[in-house]
Amino acid sequence: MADEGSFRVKLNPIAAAMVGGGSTRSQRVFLGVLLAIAVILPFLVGSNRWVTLMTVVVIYIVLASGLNIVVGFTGLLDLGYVAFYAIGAYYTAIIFNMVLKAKFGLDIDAYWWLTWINFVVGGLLAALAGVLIGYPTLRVRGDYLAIMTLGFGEIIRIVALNWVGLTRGPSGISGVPKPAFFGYEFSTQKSLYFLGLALAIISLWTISRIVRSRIGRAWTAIREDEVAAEAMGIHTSRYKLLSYATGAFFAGAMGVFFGHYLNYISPSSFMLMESFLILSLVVLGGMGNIAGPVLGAIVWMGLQEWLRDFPFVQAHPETRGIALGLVLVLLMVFRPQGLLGSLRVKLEMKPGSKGEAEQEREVWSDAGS
Amino acid sequence: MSELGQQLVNGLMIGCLYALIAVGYTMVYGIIELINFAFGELFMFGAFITIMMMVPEISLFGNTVSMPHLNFFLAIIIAMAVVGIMGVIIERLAYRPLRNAPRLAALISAIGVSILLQNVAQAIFGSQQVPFPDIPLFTTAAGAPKAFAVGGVQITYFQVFVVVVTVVAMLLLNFYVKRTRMGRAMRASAQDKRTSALMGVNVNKVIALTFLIGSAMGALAGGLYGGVYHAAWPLMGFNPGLKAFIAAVLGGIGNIPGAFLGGLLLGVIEALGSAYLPMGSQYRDAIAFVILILILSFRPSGLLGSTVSQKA
Amino acid sequence: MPAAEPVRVLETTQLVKAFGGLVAVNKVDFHADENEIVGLIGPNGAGKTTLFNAITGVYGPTSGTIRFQGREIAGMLPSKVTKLGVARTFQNIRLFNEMTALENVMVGQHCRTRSGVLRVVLRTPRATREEKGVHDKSLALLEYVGLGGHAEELAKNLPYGSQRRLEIARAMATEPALLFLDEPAAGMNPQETAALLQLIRRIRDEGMTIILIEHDMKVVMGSSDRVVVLDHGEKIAEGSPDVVRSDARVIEAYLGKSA
Repeated sequence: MADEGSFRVKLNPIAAAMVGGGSTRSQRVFLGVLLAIAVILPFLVGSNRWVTLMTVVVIYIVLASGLNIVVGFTGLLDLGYVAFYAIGAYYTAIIFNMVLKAKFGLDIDAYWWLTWINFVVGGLLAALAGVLIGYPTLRVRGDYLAIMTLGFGEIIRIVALNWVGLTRGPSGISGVPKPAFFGYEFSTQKSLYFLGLALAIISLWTISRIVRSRIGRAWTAIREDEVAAEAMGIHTSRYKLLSYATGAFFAGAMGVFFGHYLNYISPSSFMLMESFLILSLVVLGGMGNIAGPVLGAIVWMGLQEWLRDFPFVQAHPETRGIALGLVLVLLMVFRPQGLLGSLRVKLEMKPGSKGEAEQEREVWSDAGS
Repeated sequence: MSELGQQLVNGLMIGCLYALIAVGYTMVYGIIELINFAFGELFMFGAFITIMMMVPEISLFGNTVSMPHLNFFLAIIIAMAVVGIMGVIIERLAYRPLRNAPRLAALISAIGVSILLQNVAQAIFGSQQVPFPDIPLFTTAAGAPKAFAVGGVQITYFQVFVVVVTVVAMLLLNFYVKRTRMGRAMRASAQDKRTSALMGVNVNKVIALTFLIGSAMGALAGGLYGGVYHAAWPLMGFNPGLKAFIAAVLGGIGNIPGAFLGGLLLGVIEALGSAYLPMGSQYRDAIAFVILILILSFRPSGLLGSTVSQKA
Repeated sequence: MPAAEPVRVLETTQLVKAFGGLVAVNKVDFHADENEIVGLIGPNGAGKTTLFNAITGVYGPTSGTIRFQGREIAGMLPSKVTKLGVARTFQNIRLFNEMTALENVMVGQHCRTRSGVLRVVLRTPRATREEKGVHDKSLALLEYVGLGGHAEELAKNLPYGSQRRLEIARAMATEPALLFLDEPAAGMNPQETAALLQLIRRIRDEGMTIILIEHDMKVVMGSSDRVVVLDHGEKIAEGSPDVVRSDARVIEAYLGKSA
């Protein structure tokens, strides 16, 4: 199958860059190329439309990567992930708009430094929610776990919709200031994009390090066989909660970014379909694979953007939903390992000195599906 | 007091609808351990097809098409048959290939089917509400639902009809599962598929039949729901679908009388909660989820389920 | 001079495990002394694996006590029991299929390492040192069981005999004082069984205490210092392999079942 082969050749190096053990030269080259594209492209394209698209892709890359920790690596089907995103966004919006401005009448522009702190605090708040939501799911089976997390996600959305005193309900909160740094305001699309890109790079780097360590091993062990993992000395409850918390952290941090990016948030940005969409990105790219969510986000968002140009699609927005549903079913039936397939992440930190050729061989070998 | 009575009546009726859908969930879960997310959408299609059969013409894909203009009872039976077959096709295409795959794959496929059906319905019927025609038998000449009052509580004829139909359906189903050969095959397959196959049971046929019945029940609920709320819309299935699953868990997954009980209970608790809790009506949907979390935390086998160890 | 008192590594007293009405383990007094190999045999359904599971924490016992190195461990989480020094393999092989052989063994080292999220992200010298230690120890263990050349193969792709040995290596990675082996020779051909026997003896010679469930009598008789026989959840015989082999009750339990 010549097509299959060339398809794999095209994808493998991209994946190899993020997936393989240490860094071989070809992996570093491709990472560099990807990064270069990400940095240069906004200056090459004329309109803001592309920059906006790239910002959205970058956000979804982080969200999908965070969910990948829970679903892909640990094997917990979290269907309420969007709630953590919402918590981050609402947290920063509430702090700036409702507390500082509305309650204390302060000039929120003077508090520009708070934005940067909020990234971490929002993430931590979301992580805390992750632990709270995860706790009741510990002793529950996979399918029930999915519904329970879905329920939690919905509960958070319903609260956001109805606790008008805190969240202004369906009208949402507006006027979240753009991020600023010692006088420089991130007000242009390009500047916001680069901020998002920086956040994404930091997030992916962090996730990669966590996954390729004893923690990532523990998570994967839990996914593969929870009973055996527990028997090998892994406190599975604690590590499941850690998985939820870690995944949630990144969603929360990105939520803070989202709040400042849009400077208006409302419950309609955090519907259940968002959780399904993020899950689809993970599944499409390849679960349990660091590069998977990145590829999934790029491919899907790119596809959507391309489809948007067709008048038929403009007139019939449901075609996107039909495409999404079809993609999910077809993927599961024909290629459940997603686009990146069986390329796997090495679950070790710096696997010791190995020849470059040996590493290349490892990364390229199809480990069987 | 009549307020409480009114709430109970409403809750009971919506509970019946939940019960009908819950039965589908519980039967399918009992036999292949899959949460068929798509049941909510099958419920929705049940409502739409009932409407389609009842009206003289309808707008499909933006074009007006003339329709059979049948009476309600015929329409709903046709809807049940059509949706039943839809369920069988869905099982064959989206679930059967994944029967030996990890649970995650089947669940994601089910989500995909659900999303697909929602959007297909939107493509066909548009995203707005489609009105459900009045049923002459249950509607007065003036266009209002025929009703009677008992001690200050308003009960419509149609509500009584819903309850009666639900009870009859449950009894018939129970009889079928307990007394017929096919029903025995279903129960055996739910217990142990491999052994049943070795005993000569055509497990694939049994599963297809389970989907047929479950989907038909969902369609029945959809047609009735349309009659009660006088409308159908493509996203109407999601919420009741989710709640019906919760009802099935509440009653004890895999347990048909449990689904009935769970449905009724959930309907009543929801109605009472939304009426009497502060801000109850806004948080109405959250009530079902809270119940789910409580049940799974304290009695995961449900009210009527046997206490079986959860983990494999 | 009186012989030194053997150190009692494990002791269960009147241990009962019931599942609803079914009593799987019925008032069993069981012990293992330091450096012993204890063979646990009995017809199918006698409760051997249940006993393992109760001791290792998979089930909480219904009643009775379990003392490991003098400490009461009944009802503890399995991960806690493992941390204290008890490791096991599984009757039906429970490897981490999508992980390599080396990664499987490295998981065993998890409870002997401590780096948390922060240290791991920052790659502190201590975390790196720890990881290298884990890597080296795990590789050494793979070589010890004869799988050194297969370190990078996925567990699911290994031949059956190698999988069983991998499970042993993984269990040993937890640095236990007591090792439970649940039918380690099941499905092995005679050569593999002989090699396994050698491995078990070698592990014991290096200081381990081993409790072994086996149906293969060659393995049991050839390795055990002492044999305990269960039938219907009760201990019906105990002693050296020769004594047990000729015990009337034991013969009846086995023969009676095959009637």
